[in-house]
Amino acid sequence: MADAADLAGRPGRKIRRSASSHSVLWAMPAAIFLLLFFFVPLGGVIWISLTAGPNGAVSLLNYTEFFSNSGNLKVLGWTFALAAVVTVICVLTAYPVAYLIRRASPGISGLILLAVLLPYFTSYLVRTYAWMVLLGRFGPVNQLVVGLGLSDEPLRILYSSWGVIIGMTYILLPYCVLIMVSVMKGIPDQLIRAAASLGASRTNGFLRIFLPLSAPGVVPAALLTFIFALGFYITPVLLGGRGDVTVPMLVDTSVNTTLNWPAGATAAVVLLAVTLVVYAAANRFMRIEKLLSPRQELADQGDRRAPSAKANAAYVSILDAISRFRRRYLFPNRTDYRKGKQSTRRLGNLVPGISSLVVLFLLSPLFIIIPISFSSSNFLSFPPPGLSLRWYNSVFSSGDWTLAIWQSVKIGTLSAIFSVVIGTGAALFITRTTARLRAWSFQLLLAPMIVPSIVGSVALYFLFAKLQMIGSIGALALAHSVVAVPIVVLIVSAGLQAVDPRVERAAASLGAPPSSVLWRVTIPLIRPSLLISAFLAFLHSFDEVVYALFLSGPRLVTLPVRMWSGVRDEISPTIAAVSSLLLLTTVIVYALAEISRHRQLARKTV
Amino acid sequence: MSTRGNKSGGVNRRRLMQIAAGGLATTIAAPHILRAQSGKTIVVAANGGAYEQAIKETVLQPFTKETGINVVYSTQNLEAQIKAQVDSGNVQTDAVEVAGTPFQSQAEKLLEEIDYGAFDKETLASLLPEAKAKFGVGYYIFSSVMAYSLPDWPQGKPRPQTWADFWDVKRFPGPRTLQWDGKGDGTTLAFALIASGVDPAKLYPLDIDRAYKSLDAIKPHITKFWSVGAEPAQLLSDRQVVVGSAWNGRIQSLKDQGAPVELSWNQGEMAMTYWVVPRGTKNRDLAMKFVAYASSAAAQARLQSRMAYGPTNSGAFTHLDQKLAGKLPSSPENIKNQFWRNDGWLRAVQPNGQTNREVLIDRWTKWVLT
Repeated sequence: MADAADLAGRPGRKIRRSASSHSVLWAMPAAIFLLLFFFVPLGGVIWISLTAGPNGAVSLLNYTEFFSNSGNLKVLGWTFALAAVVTVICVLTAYPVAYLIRRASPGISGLILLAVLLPYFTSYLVRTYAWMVLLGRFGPVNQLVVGLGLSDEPLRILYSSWGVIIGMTYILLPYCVLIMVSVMKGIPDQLIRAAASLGASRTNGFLRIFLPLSAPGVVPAALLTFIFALGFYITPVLLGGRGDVTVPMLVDTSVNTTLNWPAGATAAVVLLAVTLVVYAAANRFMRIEKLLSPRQELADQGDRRAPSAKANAAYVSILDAISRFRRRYLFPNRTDYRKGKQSTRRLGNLVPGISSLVVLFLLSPLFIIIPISFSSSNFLSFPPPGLSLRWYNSVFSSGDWTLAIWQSVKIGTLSAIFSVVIGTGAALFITRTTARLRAWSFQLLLAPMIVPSIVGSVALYFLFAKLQMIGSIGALALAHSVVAVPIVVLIVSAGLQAVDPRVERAAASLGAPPSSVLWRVTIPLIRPSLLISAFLAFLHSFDEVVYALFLSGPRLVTLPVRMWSGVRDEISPTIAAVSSLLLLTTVIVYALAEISRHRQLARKTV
Repeated sequence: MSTRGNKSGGVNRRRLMQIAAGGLATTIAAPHILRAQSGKTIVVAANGGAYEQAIKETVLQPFTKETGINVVYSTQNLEAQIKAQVDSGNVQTDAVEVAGTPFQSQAEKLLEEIDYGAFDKETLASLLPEAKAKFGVGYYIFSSVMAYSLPDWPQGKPRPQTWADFWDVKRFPGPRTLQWDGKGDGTTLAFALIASGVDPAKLYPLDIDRAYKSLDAIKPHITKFWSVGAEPAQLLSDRQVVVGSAWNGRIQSLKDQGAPVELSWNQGEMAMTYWVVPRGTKNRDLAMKFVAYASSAAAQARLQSRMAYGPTNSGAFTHLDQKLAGKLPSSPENIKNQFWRNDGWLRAVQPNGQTNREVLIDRWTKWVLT
């Protein structure tokens, strides 16, 4: 049907939808909002970096100073290297896990998916803190290493590059797995079965069919991971040692410690430029908005740019050459090629093996935090010498923590409501407009998600400092909404695409004005998307650290900011208690959301 | 014909939304409404952690009880906030505790002059002369000392006693920490110079090149440069480092809590913290009142009995427990082993227009990244 073609973005007859003439209006609030609170502040940062000297003349002086300092170049190189290493490790470990989730039975794949999602929903400050505990000189990992005799002295993992790599991999792995799973779901099972029926071994079926089909999804997943890794700020600060300085840390030092705003702006712009270049490269492979949408149905629509015929042919000829080599030189006398089954079985066991290690890796830090929160000792010793509830007591009896929780809830709610309202409008526009406009709008709307949060925070910091709004709840709620709007747009537009346009046309044909159609037909149909996007927007705001650190003030201390101070200033397990409470809340809310979703689905099918 | 739905259903939903919106607005506005009714409030910024607890209990709460002025406490980015707030004309913080008055070159632009008229005569008389500066009031004397993680230095094993020992990684191996010197205080440089053989009494003017040559030698053995007061205490009590430099009050707090850490006064560096009032604060008089209260002998004695820093009000010693004398930097037996940080030299302006402090900042920022 022409409508379906229109939705999928392939060129087809354009049929005017019922509200298309009003569509642009829907997007106006979101467009104005992002313009004022994202693009203009970014321009401000670029402007500050271009003005040097007391009279503010425009010049590239700041940039020449930045690049002539060998220390800065070293930091830039290190940021790149770190992101590259983390990306490689993430992709290599995420692929088997994603493959298993894709190909295993629903029960097992559900469990693994849960293990991947649970850390994803935990605050990343908590997750980084867990690694501080685990990787210490006398923490559990070193206790194991020394105990097993692998080393005489405890290894320095914490406050070294390896600590940062482990911490960052831990946080990025769920993204990688989820993106790959969403792409792999688009590969039909029949293809592999067909290959097997034609005589391909399991290895060949994987190498020749599955791997090439999943590659165009793996590459942008890797590039996205790389982009996110470039912008990491919290993890290198907490887990890194003397030499582990990244560009985001340079930005923070310049703005907050040496008070050199132009230098900070310059570093931020350099980071931004690198990020945009990598993003443009990733976009050539696959439309990024499909990858970032958590709704996996979206990926099934394909629109994958297929690997070029030449690349395919080259790859196949390499595989053919390898198998010819094997047949001629390694196993010249073998007539039954299926004898290789044993080796493939061993390889086949590797996948569940790696996956269980990865699942252990994903869950163990959470399991460390919980016992420590019950420790009777004043300090972070593991295993805890005794049990006590005093840390939970101190959380609830101290006014600081309860105030911080309350402020986080307030800001999260404000940000969720605001971003759902304007994000839904933008989603309505995007799903009902032409294909080209849709592509451009998605890119612009996704920008806050791609741009490193340190750059966005500094931009808003400069803006709100001028407007004298630092430390106000409104400022922080707006800042959080800036990043929440893309989340809402992605989820709600996925939901809108599932709405049958005929229902809306039927309502209009019965006399309902467009506003009624929207309010009484469309909105109720996408209610699950609205609720999920509201939940994710709230969660994002609740856990957000970097914007909060820059924009908070004496009267505005959110829970993550309080935890950040706690991690640096307090040595007691109070932070572990707060982390466990956060974990518990996340699990409960997620469980409730899942239960209600299942109940809704059950009601629908009935 | 109108196909509008059930009228009562529409009204119900609208009413519900109105109530919800009203409820939401009230909930968010409530604390502001309450605060507006409760009277005067000032915002005070200083360090966090153990210090925050101590100052709240010994100074801030008694101040509120006595004067009725509420105090909001902040621990974020102290100096950065001052500059950002004063530059933008929106000063939210009324009093800030900083070490070494880092804004000496821009003090007139960023800070209010201290109104010593708000101080009572007794306090004025017993405050140390160095404490009565134009743009700040000296609050306490703290020392940067060498601190140890005791489990790593058991009874039989000798500990480093001097900074030359600290630099001797062959005799005293193990991971170390030193202060990140990016604010231009010069503490780490001073220790590096002493380790290279300079007499502590003849440190200033600092020979910067010699100091960095010395620092190059120790750099590979530094796990991390600490920048927050609690960091070295945490690193030592978690045994991430075996020895390091730290502020005496933090180590003393940990010791009092039973942590296995220890400090040595030998070759420690003494410096003063100051209360400053950002220029343009709307609560200037209240801020001065607070600063005067904090400088009184009784308030200083209460705080330092918890934190073990040296009070700048000599009258405080009469209120302090004699047993505490050994823990204070400024007590006679400890002061003779230490040297003073030279704020005057840090303030002095070089021919190129930069203060020595700024020169140190530039040099450190370049060195620490390479």
